[in-house]
Amino acid sequence: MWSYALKRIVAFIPVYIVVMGFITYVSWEHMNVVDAHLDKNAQAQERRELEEQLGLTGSVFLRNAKKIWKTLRFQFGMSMTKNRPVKTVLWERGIISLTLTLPALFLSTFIAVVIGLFAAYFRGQAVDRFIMMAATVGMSVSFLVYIIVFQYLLTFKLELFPTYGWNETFLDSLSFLVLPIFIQVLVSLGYDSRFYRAVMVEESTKDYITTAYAKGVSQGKVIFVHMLRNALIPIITRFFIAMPFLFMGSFLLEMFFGIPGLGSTMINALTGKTDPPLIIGATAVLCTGYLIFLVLTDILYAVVDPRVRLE
Amino acid sequence: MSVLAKWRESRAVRKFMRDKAAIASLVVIGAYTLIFLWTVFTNLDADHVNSKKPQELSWLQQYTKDTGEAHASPSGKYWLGTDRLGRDITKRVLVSVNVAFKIGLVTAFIACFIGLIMGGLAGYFGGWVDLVITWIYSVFSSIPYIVLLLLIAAIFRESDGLTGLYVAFGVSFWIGPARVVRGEIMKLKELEYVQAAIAMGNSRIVVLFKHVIPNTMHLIFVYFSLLFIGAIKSEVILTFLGLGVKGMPSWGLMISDAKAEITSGIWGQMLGASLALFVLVYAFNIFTDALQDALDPKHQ
Amino acid sequence: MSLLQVKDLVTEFKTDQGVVRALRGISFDIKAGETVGLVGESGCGKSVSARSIMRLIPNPPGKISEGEIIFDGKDVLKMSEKEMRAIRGNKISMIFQDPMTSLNPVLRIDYQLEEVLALHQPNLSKAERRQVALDMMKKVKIPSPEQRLREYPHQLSGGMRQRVMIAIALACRPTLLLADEPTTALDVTVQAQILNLMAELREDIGTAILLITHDLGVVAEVCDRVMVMYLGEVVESGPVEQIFANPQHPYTISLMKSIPKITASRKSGERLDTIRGVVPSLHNVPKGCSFRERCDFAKEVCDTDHPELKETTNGTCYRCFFPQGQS
Repeated sequence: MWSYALKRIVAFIPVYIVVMGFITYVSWEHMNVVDAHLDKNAQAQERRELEEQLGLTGSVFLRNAKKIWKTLRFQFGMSMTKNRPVKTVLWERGIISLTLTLPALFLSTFIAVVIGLFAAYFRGQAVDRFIMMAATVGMSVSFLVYIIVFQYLLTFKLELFPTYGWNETFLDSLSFLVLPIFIQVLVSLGYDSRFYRAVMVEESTKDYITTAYAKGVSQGKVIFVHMLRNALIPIITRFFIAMPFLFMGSFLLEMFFGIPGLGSTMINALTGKTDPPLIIGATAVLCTGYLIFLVLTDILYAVVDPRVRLE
Repeated sequence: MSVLAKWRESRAVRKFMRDKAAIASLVVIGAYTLIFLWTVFTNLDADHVNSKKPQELSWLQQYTKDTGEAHASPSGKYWLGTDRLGRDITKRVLVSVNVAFKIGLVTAFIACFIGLIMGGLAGYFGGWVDLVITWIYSVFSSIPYIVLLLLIAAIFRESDGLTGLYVAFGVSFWIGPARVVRGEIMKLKELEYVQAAIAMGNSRIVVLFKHVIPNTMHLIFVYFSLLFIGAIKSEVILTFLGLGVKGMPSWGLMISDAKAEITSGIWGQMLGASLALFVLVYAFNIFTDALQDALDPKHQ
Repeated sequence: MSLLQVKDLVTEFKTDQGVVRALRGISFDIKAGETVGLVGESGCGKSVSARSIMRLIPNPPGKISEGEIIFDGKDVLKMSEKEMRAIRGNKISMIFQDPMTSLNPVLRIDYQLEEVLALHQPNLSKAERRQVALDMMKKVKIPSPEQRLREYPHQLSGGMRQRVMIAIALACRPTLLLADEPTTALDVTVQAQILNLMAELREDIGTAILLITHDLGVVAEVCDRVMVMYLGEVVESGPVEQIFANPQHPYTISLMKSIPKITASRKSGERLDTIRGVVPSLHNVPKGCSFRERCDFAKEVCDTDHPELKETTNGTCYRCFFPQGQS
């Protein structure tokens, strides 16, 4: 198993190098860094100084090679917008993002699996068709619309939740999380229930299910022992694959609800006052996380499905 | 085999036709297409329209004209009311179909085309071709979607909104079709009729294009439909972030504007834009489902 | 007194193109300990018959709409689901055609085998269950049974998986075993082994067997009686020797003739006999006799009247106006 993981990681290294090279290059050279951080009335002199400070003078090739080399050694430097080490910013804000995305993932997976089971059980009947229609409708509404409408209804009109904001400690911030988590779960439910229903339906048509019934096994046991055990494979896989993206958070929700998570920070680093070190650092983390979870998922697969052998 | 493919298609078509929801979705998509064509054949260029007086413009061309009544409520005259600049929202909602369709069509086409080629070559030739392409695929899929999108959109920030979006979406979306096509071709490659065709003396390239690729088209059709909508939905979000379409009205722009309005009780723009978007997306989702049902007997 | 009596059984399915009757009123019975073959072409309703007996017809889209299935004196169709479950795997067992997919891939063999014991013989302790499971594995002649029990289905060959299926089916010593083409998916040599195994177990446990197959050779070897089905109906049945020696129904006769014979002369031009035409679709059941289009001996009355099952003195019956056997 370790040799497999090692092989995957080694194979990924060239990918990583190219990705980080690309990101480093684009972030420093194409994001108007200098303009973004200069005063409106800056003189040419100040501009040159800033360029030197940022390492943007000299040959394009050399300066990028230097930066890329630094990136590959995981030296991300200081965030230009937060004035703190990139690693610190990533960590702090990433955790905050997680407090939204992790519970949301658990909740939406659980609910969607139940819905999917339910729909598959009543496959073809009115209940199923209704659920599927609702899921399709849910999946067709724009994320933006969900946020705007629910924020309007539940915070403005009904004043049930705070609109906006965050507190120092986690416990104080709980009330700020309820609505965003609710919206995130709602948005995912459409896609997820459809997927899990399809998984359940696929399993329920397999021959071994008929064998189980022919043995006199009760419906409950057939579904929860025989079928679920097989359906767990795609369920867990899907759950796991979503993991690396949790760290980055849901940037839309963070922006609308004023949650200082990694997602909104990234977006600001990319669109407002561009912050190349932060962009690079975040991408590095996400890229590495992606790889790690890819390998973990394969290993998990081998654990959960006795038919799978890691090559 | 192509004869068999035709037979399969007609059975798929018949199955599709039996699904009432599918027909309905097709009708809706058709309606939107007609609106799109209307916007294509009407000169909606902002410069052109702004230089003329209202009386010289057709109904649709007046979408940028200030009616003099900002934030009017929905009424018989202005079905969805007017926005903060007095522009008729209904007209703007309709004109937005232009941007939506352009983005959807071009993106889906580019992504499916690239995906087909890459996936096809990788799956069919295997070996180092597959290695290289899979490697490229890994590079693109390990960059978070939004980062990739924003980076590329930023590169093209200067030029007019759409080219940047096309490239950004094309580059981000091709990996879906590529992966699926590659998988399917790797399966098809082993089938006997392919080996028979090669044994008969056809060159491998000919076999690829004549026999193998046509049998992946059903996957491409489905992906085209999915990406069409994916691009439109993403555009809405990108525009909201300030990186999307400028110049022409789009639903993303309208929803963005509407956000401030609804707290003052003005719903027209929000309702119009989100409803127009929703109906199109929903219709496409139903359509894609029906498509998959018809083309792949296992799909439930 | 028969073990199983099926009377006028009708099973239908809702399809895109309307309701289809897969079983159009079949009747037969099986006596304790006997082996009955059920033959017919694909789609004639053999599998559906077996599944109907077990009430394994999925409720949408299928439904057993008419008839009675009397097992051990009680009508199965009138039983509650709970009562039915007590019978499945216990008094009536079923084995299926494809051993590759009939076992649950993520559960160990011992679990799947002991499950049926845990369900129907709850008084057994865990150790006793394990012992019975081991005994069954030995009975079906699986080498290294202790090790196999700890393995997963994919680690066993097709033949072995089918043996496991048989072990599971017979663990509770059922009085009736429904075998739905148990050897079709297996190599010929393995086929022979499995059939021998079934014959031995039949001696040992005394189970009656309904053997569904399209292979007449298997029927000749193993069965006491045979029933021939066509388009959802029984068209002929009787003791194996009778049916093989003197088939009455034209369909049965054609079936017998179309078996390739190793002793056939190699005269040039001699071809395999086939039955002309194709089986009509269940969506379009012909009026009158269902075999009419393909029958060389049909007359006008066959177009309009539907023949009923007629019994003869030597224990056979057939569904034909113009039987072609030697009387």
